[in-house]
Amino acid sequence: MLIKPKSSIFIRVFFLFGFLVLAITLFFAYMAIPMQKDAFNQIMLTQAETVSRSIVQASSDALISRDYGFIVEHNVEVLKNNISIFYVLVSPNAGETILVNQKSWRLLDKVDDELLSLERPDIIYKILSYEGFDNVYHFVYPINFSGVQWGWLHIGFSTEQYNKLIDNMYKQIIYIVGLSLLIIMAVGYFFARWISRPVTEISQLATQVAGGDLTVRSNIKRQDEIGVLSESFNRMIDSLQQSKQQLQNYNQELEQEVDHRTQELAELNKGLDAKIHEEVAKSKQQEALLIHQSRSAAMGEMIGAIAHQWRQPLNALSLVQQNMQLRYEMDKLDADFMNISMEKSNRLIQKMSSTIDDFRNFFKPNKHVDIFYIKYVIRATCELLDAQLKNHNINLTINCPENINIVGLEGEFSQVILNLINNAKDVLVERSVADPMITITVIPASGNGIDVTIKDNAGGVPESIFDKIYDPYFTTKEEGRGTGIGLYMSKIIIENNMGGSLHAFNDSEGANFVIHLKNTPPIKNKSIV
Amino acid sequence: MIGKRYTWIVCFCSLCCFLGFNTWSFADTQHISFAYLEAGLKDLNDADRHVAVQLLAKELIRDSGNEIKVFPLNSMAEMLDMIEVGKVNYVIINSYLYLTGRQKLQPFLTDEIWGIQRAQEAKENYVLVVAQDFNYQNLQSLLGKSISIHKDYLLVNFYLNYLVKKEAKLPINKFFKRIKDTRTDSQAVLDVFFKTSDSCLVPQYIVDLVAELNPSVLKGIRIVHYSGAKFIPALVLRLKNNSVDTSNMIRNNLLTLSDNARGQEIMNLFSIKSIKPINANALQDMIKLYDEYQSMAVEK
Repeated sequence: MLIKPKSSIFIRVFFLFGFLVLAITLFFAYMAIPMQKDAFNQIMLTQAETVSRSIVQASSDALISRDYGFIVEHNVEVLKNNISIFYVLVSPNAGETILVNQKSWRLLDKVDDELLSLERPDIIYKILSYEGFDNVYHFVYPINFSGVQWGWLHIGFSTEQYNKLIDNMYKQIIYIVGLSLLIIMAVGYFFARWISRPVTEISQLATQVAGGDLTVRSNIKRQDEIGVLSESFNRMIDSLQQSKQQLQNYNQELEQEVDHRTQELAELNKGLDAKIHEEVAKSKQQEALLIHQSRSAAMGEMIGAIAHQWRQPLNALSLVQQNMQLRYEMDKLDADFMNISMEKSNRLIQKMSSTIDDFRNFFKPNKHVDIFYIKYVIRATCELLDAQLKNHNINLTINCPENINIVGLEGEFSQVILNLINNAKDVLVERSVADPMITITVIPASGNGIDVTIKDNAGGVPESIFDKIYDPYFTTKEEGRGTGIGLYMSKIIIENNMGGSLHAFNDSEGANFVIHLKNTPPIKNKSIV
Repeated sequence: MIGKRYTWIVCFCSLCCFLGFNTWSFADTQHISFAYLEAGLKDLNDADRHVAVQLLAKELIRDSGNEIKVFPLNSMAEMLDMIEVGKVNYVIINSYLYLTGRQKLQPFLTDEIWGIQRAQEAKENYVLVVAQDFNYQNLQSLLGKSISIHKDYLLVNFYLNYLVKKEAKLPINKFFKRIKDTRTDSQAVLDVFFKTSDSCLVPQYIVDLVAELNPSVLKGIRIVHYSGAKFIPALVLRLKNNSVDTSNMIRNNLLTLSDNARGQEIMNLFSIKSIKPINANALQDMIKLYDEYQSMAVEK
């Protein structure tokens, strides 16, 4: 692609050179004109003074002796020989005032006031109109003899010569400027060409190089910076050519390498799908295993919870039996006591049976997303752990409005609640917290969602492990007492299956686990089963 | 084809012919000499005078191929010496000097005489001028007074002497209290106008000239004496040693001098109007006056 310059260096140099020379010429003309005018003025003044002095000297005797005939005759001759003198006026302090011009002479009664005002001790001149002549250079010369003022000599000179000189000067200046312009154009053209041609040549070569042609070379051989530029340009092209060659070589090698790697990748790819499938299967197995382990852990815990739940009714049942036996041995067992004891026993057995139902239902996986009331699920879940909690004197508080419902998988949600409460219980027991508490708070959240917060006062999750708590198999419990998959699975259930989020934070009392649920159906294809 | 050797010979011969022809041409060239007496031509300064006479002489022999020589001479004796040895072809001379030396000049002169004219008329009329308020009765009224005169104008000077001698039987330096030599004739008139002098003697055309410059001058002066038209200021005399061709050539050029611009310029240099041929009778008035003056001088 050709790169065209926006403005030519030749034109710039040409006009700059021309402008400079013209500016200098005009400047000098501007300076010279007043100087020349002054010089001409001075010439006129000198000429006038010379003429006056010669007239006075030539006619000094006549002036002193008042030989007016001589004065007139002499001045007539002076005027005859000097056509540039319009008139001569001899104005003595006393005697005849004589005016002589080119055609005649006459005696004046008095000198005009305008001329009289010019009669001063020093020579003076003024441009005025007199005797029918305009623009007269009127020169006044005081006539002194031996320090005594005799009178004045007025001479009217034509300014035609002066004006001609000025005109000639202007013409010459115009001529010089015109000539300068011609010279500027000629010299400027060659100068600009001398400057710009090598630059243009190199520029064109550079354009060709930019277009990909590295065979071009500059033939400019000069001893100045342009010569250095030309040489450097050629070296640059050589260097570019070498680089290009190297690049081509590298490219070739790279292509070969790429081909090789591509082959390797292709081969890798072949096994990748199988690997992926293998890994996916593995992952699913692992996930299933995790779920199984989670379930197992949950089950284990549940069994522990069941055992715990049954301990009290079993104890109570044992007490009823012992009472019955004691009454029989004391021979006080009657029908009423028997009935009461049977009722107590049935109630206890019923309670134990409902506990199994509860646990069994807990582990029944939900196949469908459905609306359920949060409070109900939480309460039901808490009842499963009620005995254990009471055993450890853990005070459980549920703050949940009755009418909050959510769309989701009820069973999975229960599992999560169970896990979180269990974790809170375990850490409260482990840390032997005085006055242990677990608070479950449910509040509506923004965007038609809800926040379920399970809070304890066990002091909080240590900062060092905060970012690991959701990792699978991470646990702070002794070996054999925790599987480390509870929180992992809880997060999976809430975030993947129920479209919510699970996060934790510490406050001044302890840990807060917040389940945020949107009231939208969860993602159906992520069922845990 | 001429060979190289013959070419050189031909060139050499041509050169010789050329030089020979020119040498012969040079041998045929004439020198024409003009002599003039400086006295009586004082209106021009020395340098201008000589240049002016040379210009005149050149103009008179123009196109002839002749060379000229111009001799400025200081005295009649010098002139006569040159004439006697044949060094002079033409003489330009003030009329007064001609009058004084005509006896000696006559043998060498032809009857071709040219008169130089300064005024409108061929012969000049001299006038005696006094101030308007001067009480002039006759020449005696000027006894003991002053007069301005342009002394270089020899004829005027002569006439004044003649006049005074005739009327008062005195030389002018004893008649007049002061004789003021003016630089020009015009100044003499102005002296009378400005009353620097009591009188002046000038050609009448001078009075006219002065009045032309300032008509009020006429109101301040008056003419009290006229000489009559008698005077021719200067003469051009052809000597006998001229060839016919030369004489004809110069005569023709003199006749046509005032007809061309260059001739006019030359005459302006001398402040003359024309140079015209005159016969010997034209000089008789002056000759008569001169003889009369001479006889008066002898009678004293």
